[in-house]
Amino acid sequence: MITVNVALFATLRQYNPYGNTSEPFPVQLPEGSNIASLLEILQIPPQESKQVFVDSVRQEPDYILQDGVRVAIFPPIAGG
Amino acid sequence: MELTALIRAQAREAVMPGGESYLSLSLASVREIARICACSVKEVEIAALEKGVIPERYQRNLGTVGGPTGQVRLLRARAAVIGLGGLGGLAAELLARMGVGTLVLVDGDSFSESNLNRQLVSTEKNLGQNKAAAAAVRLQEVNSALELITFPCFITPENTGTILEGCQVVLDCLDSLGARFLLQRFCRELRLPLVHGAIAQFYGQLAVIFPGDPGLERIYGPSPPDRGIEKELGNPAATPALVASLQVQEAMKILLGREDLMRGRLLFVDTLQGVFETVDLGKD
Repeated sequence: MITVNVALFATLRQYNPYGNTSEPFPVQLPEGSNIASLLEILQIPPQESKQVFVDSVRQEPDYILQDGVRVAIFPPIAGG
Repeated sequence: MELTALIRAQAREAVMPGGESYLSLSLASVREIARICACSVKEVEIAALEKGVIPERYQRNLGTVGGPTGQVRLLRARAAVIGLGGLGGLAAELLARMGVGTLVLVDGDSFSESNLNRQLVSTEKNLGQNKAAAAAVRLQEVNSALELITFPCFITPENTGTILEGCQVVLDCLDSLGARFLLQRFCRELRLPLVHGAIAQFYGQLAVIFPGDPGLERIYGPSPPDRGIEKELGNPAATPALVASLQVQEAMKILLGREDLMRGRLLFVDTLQGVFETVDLGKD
């Protein structure tokens, strides 16, 4: 198993199982898990989470997560 | 009497809040000299600053812009504000007050009642008027030195090159991703820095994108929807004002040639939880 630290921002905070906050929380995953499987575990609909940054760099859903990385997930905002 | 002699004759000794004395030129004097010399208010202001005489309206700018030389640089600059809604209305106003000499104002939309909660230029009196034209009316009253170039239209692949011609910085104050990506494409082609801002409800974001930098595709992904979560959550008064202010600070730094910019990063602001988060946009 690996452990990643997840931070959810804005409207995605509601999917934080520890409370409605952007504070990072640990998630355990089988080795070889990708971003898509992390989103599934957290029950975040894929259409709400187009912007996933792993250790501050944007990555696609098929990106394989490594032990200890920080994953930040933002919803798209585009208003003016 | 020549311009310099008139400026010297009208200049008055004054004292900075910090106690330092300086030569000040009032707005009334600037206007009078411009009338006598048949030149523009902006030309008088630049000539005064080059002689070390400070137009009083810019006195409080000097510590931020790097003295009279920085103020001259701003007065000679041209910035484009694309979109004159919640972000662009305030951004244009702040650029005008700082004395950015030429502002290109672009928006094809007209003010409606649902704009009144947040869009600075909108008033009960100008409902139905084009946003760019209404902004020009307001900004002329704020700073008569400015040259205001108004495009009462939306950006298209056909007109964007012409709109951005001669600019040194472009502010993305739009509200749809299709238009934002189009603007970024032209900024890259024309080698112009783009200051991106976007908002939704309590949330906002900012990025400074130079040609060759990772940009909107790194933020939104390769095939984003045209709108974000603002579609459901709406836009209040303070969030666009906050993000527009951050955009203007970055635009000012670009125009002043400073190197400490928000490049290669996305600043995400959550005013509900009081969190400012910066993420790296990576390298191309």
